Amino acid sequence: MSDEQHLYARPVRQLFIFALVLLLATQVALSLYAWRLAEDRLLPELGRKAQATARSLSGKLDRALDYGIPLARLEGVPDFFADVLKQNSDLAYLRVSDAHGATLYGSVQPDISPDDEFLDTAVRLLLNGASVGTLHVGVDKRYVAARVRELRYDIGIVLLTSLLIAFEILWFVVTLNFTVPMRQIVARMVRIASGDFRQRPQAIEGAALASRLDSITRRVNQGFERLLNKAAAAPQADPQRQAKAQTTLQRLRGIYHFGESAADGDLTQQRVILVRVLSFLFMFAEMLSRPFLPVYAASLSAAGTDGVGASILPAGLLASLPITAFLLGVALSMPIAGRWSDRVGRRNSYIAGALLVTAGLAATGLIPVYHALVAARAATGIGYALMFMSCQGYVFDNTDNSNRAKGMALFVGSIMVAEICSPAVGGILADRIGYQQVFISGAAVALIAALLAGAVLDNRHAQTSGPAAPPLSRRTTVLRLAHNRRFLALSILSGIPAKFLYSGFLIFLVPLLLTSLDCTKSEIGRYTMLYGLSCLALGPLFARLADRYNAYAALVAAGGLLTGAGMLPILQGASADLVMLGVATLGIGQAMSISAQLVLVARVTQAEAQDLGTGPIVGMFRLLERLGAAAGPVATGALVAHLGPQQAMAALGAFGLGTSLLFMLAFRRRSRTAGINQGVPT
Amino acid sequence: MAMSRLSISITAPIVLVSALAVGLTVFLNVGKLDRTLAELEQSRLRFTLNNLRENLETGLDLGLPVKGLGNAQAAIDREARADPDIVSIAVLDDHGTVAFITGRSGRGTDDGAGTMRLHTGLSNNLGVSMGAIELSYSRRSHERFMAGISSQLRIAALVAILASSALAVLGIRLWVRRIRRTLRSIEHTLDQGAPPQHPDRRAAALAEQVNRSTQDALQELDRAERAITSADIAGTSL
Repeated sequence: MSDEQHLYARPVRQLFIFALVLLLATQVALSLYAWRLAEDRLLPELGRKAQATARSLSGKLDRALDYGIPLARLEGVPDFFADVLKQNSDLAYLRVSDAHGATLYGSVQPDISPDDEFLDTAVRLLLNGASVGTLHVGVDKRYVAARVRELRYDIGIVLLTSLLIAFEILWFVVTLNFTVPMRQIVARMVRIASGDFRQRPQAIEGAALASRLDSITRRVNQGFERLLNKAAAAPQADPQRQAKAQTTLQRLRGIYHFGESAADGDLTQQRVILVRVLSFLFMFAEMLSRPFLPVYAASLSAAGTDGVGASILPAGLLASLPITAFLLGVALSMPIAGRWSDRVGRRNSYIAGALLVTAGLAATGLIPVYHALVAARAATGIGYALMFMSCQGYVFDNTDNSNRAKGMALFVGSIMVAEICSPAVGGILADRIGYQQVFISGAAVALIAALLAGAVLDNRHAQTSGPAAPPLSRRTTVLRLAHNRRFLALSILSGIPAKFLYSGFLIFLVPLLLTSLDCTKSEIGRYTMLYGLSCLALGPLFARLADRYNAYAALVAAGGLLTGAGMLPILQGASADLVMLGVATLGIGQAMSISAQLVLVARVTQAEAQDLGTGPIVGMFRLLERLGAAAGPVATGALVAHLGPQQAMAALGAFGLGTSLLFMLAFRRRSRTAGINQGVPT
Repeated sequence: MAMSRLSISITAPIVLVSALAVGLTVFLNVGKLDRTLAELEQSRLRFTLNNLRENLETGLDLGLPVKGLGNAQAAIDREARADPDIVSIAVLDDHGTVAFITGRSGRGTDDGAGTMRLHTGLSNNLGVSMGAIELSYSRRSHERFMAGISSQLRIAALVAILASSALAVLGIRLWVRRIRRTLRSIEHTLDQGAPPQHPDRRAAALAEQVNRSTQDALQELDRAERAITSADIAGTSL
């Protein structure tokens, strides 16, 4: 890092470390306090169990003593105690001692362990009113501690989530308010120091230091302009003098830069960072309900408040329809949303989308009626599409070929971060405040996004006349692509199944299956976030591997095979661990195939792209993918209705395996004939 | 750059996210405590219930009907006395009719959300179902316990948020002061003024280069101007 970079990068790094340490310390301190409190308060409750046990066992022993059997010669006591301990994992030991304190029966644990590890309850054993021995029932104080500390994973998730959210917001605030202006100032100073005095537009109007640098460059440029004027005023009749002036100017131009220059790249980054926080917010609002939406839909359809309970459709299918309505809303409105956003401007379209999402989520929370849920989800899907296309359009508006990939990475990165954070937060909130309040919270976040968009976005790139693609060209695109067998194979055997499994398994089946396995919503959120984590962590790695080894088709096939294979072990018996395995393999599989798929699309449609352009082809591929996503929940719902959730997961796995094998065969054959794996795409 | 605005706009999200994280942590802890307490209660009540079952089944094994169990009333009264939160214990025959019940509360009279109900079947040594024992347990103590612990955790959360907010304000203030020092070092160097008390050497060095470059450029321009306007071209050295 250069000295100049130190001036802005080091403070930013220090700020992020400070925020991280502060959040970490606060939560660790609070968690430790909560755990200590829980141990102190729950221990007496465990003591009551020991008392109840001691009362019961002493009654049995007293009865035996009443029959005249001496305490030291009671038969079967060790076996009986072992049985009781086996059935009560919260008991640490049972022990009988004689009147002198010598142990007659029971475990040896209390003799070798310090008192503070166990809570001992002692009851005297009586024969004719006289004490003949003592029964000790011990509970392990660490039992409560261990139970309470099972929370450490959840707390860890909260910590990770809060750090990611803090990172997103801080990045936005610091980039806008510090990094970009400071970088601009430092960059200008470095340029001036190297002799570049060109004037540039200021990122932050009115900043004192920027104005000072402006005045410096203005002064030098004025001096140069004066010199130009004087050179121009040199007598025409004196060519020697004129030549000398030109030589002088040329020499100065060789050493210094004068005049004006275009805006810095930092301005672009400043604009694109706006969209990162806006896309994070709308994704966060939408994904809060992910850990419980199918369960909520099933509960509404079962309640039959609007007659749906008596519907001819099976319950599993009814639970899937609201999710399908949302995904269909996204798939069908996205092409129109993109054009509308181009026409009315990014700010207007984003705000419209955010308000639609706010209304949809609020309606979902406030009207617990099945039909209303389906309609609200469809409306939310349209709003989602509008916000997505506005953000994507904003990135395109403010980037060019040199920095578009970076801009898109910023945009996609925020979506992945929301995919990690939001289900985890939604699950915890659902456990504590209920489903409907979580929808309302989502609506509030969407409303905040609308307000923020109103403040920071603009409609500068709105097109006054709608340059919508003529219908003929869209029809032509469809017809041309329909005749491209490799494109069809890629779409039908990889693109559609990938999104089908994503929505059918992750969005619909995982919450249903984990709920049936008695998992809390917090746990479902925790399992679900594994998908986002896998994609975020491994996506760039697989993209690099694909580029390095030119293994796009291989990675797409391997991703599909891994996804399918990960869902099959559930046949051995449903468990949360096996569902988690399915989520993890889906995440890894998608990380393998997402970027490689797009490269393959470009490769297999090279001929069509020359006539139609890449945009419409990728758009068509995306539309097919989204239709596959919309079909996922409804098809999985039908499987659940006929086979049950466990078998449905296995069936999805078999589907994933089957399509991936077919894809592998199709592309292996094609690569032999058409050389599909030759050449690096751009 | 408006520094006060910068302080606020950086401190606010840190405080907000910290409060959100603390709130979620409290939610998680309260939820876990609730579940653990319920499990401990159920474990204890199951033990009591199984103890009663074993006791009563001794009579059933001898061929007595449920209504003929002479020790049943005393046994359930003893257990109910031992735990003040037990609302009632009822012994039912195989038709579900109450044969014995503790006197504290009639069966079914407190069937609201505040009562937990557990039951276990009764059978003789031939495996024939003879009836059941039903235990109703008041959740009042549980709810009181949870309300108490939630309130303590809420206070702790409030303290944590206030402490982290104070630290955030202090930390960001120091951070902004450091930024100001950097900017002042640049400004003072550019304006040839007195440097701040603890100047940022890197910033001052960069500003010094700016000054030098500007001075050089201005001098070059001045020399060039004089050269162009000078009548004695041959004598001018550029």
